[in-house]
Amino acid sequence: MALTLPQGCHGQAQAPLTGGEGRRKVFLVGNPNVGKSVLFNALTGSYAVVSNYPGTTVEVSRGSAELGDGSWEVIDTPGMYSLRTITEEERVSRDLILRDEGTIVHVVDAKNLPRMLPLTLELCMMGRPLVLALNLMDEAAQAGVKVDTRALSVELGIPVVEMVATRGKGIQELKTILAGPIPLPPSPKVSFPPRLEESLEALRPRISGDAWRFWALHALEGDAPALERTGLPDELLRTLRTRAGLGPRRGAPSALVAKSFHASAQRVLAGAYKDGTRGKVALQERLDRLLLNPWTGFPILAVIVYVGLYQFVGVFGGGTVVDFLETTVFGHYVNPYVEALFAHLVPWMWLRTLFVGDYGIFTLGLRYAIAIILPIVGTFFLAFSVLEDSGYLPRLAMMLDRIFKAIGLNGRAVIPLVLGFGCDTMATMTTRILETKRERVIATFLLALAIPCSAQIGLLLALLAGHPAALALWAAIVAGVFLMAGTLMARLLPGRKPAFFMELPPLRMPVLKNVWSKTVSRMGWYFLEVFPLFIVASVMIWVGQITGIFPKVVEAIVPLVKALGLPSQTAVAILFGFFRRDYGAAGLFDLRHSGVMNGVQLLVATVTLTLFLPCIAQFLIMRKERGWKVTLLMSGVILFIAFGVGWGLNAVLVAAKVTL
Amino acid sequence: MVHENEITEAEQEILERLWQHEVEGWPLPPGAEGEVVELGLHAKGWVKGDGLRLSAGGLEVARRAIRRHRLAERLLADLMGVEQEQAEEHACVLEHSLVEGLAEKVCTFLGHPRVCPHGHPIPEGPCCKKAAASVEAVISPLDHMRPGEEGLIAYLATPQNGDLQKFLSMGIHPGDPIALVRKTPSVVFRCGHSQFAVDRELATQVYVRRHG
Repeated sequence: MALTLPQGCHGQAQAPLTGGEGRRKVFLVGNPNVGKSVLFNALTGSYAVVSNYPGTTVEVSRGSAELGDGSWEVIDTPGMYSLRTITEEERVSRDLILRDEGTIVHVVDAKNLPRMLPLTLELCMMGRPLVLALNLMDEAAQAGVKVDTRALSVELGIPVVEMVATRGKGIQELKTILAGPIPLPPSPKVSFPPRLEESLEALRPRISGDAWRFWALHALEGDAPALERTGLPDELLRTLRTRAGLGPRRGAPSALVAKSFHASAQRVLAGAYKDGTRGKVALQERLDRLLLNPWTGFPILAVIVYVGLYQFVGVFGGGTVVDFLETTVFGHYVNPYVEALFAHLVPWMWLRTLFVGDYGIFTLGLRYAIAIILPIVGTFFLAFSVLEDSGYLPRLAMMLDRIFKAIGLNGRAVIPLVLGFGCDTMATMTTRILETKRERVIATFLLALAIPCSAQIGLLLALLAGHPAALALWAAIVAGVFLMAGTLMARLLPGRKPAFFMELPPLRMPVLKNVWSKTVSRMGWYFLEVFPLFIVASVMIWVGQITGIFPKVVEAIVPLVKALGLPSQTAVAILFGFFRRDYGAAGLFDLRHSGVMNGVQLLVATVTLTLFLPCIAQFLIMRKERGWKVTLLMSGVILFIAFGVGWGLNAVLVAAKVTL
Repeated sequence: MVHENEITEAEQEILERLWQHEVEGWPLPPGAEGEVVELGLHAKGWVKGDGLRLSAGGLEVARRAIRRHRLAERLLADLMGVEQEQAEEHACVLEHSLVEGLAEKVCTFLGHPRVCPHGHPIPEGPCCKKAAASVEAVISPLDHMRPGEEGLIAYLATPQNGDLQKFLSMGIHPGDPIALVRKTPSVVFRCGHSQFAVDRELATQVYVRRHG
């Protein structure tokens, strides 16, 4: 891979080798889906979730890298198209780099350089050490694109590295550059319309430092970090903004400015980038057409759901693997061994039940978490990772956009909603990729109410096995509640209708290594998040029983359970349901085995538990993302709907004398 | 009704400023009040009472002036490729030549654009209301193209600034080549080496100069 350092920097200042106090920092910045996270993993050896879906990095990842003589902090930022921002993820990235010091690596998709170089110029204007990483050089070569890296480096005055991050190419070169002194970029030759230039010039005496043009521009556009830094009076900015032709409204990023950057970028690229001619229609493109066409796309979706979700996650994960772990591993080996061990170690029966009793940490908590939940969640994450890396999900978003519009969302919501079928808690975190607060509230509510997570689905399938009519009714009722709740919220919540706009990344063959490490990372996250809750639940139930509180609470719930037409034993399962919906469902699973419940009762119980808040972890994440007020309100409404639907369903089925 | 040619340039200029202030919330230029008095706009019945608010008649005259001005800018920027800053200056001259009939013809030719090159809305004329997007239009919305057809982006007409900005920041700019891939269930187009999916509402705001 070629490596180019800028030639003839006209005596520009060099970045200080030691970045003051603390560790030196490197920020990875760039458009969504250009490989920032792959690069992050390669630099740090730690793991950030990578996918072929724009906007997967919703949290800022931080890691360490050894570069040259010292340890650096590497920061992976959510994707952004421009420093003049619109979405929340972009704002996160922008504020992060504007408010901090350190080197910036702008990662771009080489074949789409003309679309991405404007951001490079914006970053150049900041006057901080900057490296341009031309990633995906293999795809660029395939598309017949030619980039003259040396010419580009000279033109911009910054180091430029060619890269194929997924295969580790160019990483070493980048490390070498980062470790050495990096020349500060010369101010880029961006020419704004004369009236805007005059306004910038008018601000010059009021802004200190070499990057005054940058800060003046951002202050004129009303960006918070620039306003804080420059402390310019609002009145002056208003006048200058109008004079520059930026329009009267503050904070609206301007088309004029975007156009100037775009035009300058095209000038820079004139001698350094040669576009390829598109060749014959490749196999990949033919497949793409099939996926985008609804007549073939929906049947393909049905096959994916059947093979990936039903056969792989349901039958294989939830059946074969669960059976093996439950019956063979726990039934034959772990449980007898642990019971014998504790019988020997702990002579006091009351204490022994904490570990190996009906609700013991080992016999219940550990068994549920490892033997029942983990195989289901694990196989789901594996299937999801394959879909994610192939680039299928954005195409699904495109197909479902119209349906999602009806429930106040748009196609972008595909990723949180589909991920919800794996883990609602994780999915609630990814609602951040949605653009408006209104969409995020609707998606959060629907996830909590009507999207059952993989652990639940697995258990529900097992619960309702042998009652196909009940299973069909369950699916219809939950889907009905989902659509009704969505439609209602879309009508009730104020706010503008979301526009759908999404880049469709190229279809890519998933790389096994990436799929595997992603699955392992998600399972690790899930296990850390969930496992302690199982232990806590076991301990709380144990304390409740020892102290006699638990039976009293169960007694209190019994009338409620009876109102749903359920046997009183289910009160225990419902109470568990407050800790985790699947924990409750697992309780029902045991009841079903003992033959206490009939088909109608099973259906009512599963519907009620599905509509419940999924688990304590989800409640806590909701509070973090949406705040106490919204979360409590949502929880109240969800509880009401869950019991209301359960009660109504039972009343109807009993009145109609239905047996399932 | 006052004929366009009977308004002086100075009158037209101040009427446009008053309209922008009243309708779009721009600040008034300094000395506006003096000019209104000097030109006798109260007496002409365009400005109400002794304040600076436009009368119904004044609003209409000003609206048409703004429309001519912004159409002129559009014409210069899109068809002649004149840089924005110059377009603005030339437009000030050109708008006076655009008598009402001619303005309608220009508007139709441009495919009834909705915003000027600066992104400010162009008030509708009678032709826009009648226009059932004629097929012969040189410039038409993206979703009027046939799948597989290629063209150049003429301009983006998104009333909500955020949506417009989304295109621009993704690097999709007027002048770039664009190809329509398909129209259902959402609109998919290719720009550079990337594909994008947008809903129909956004697609109607991307105007394309078709190769014809």
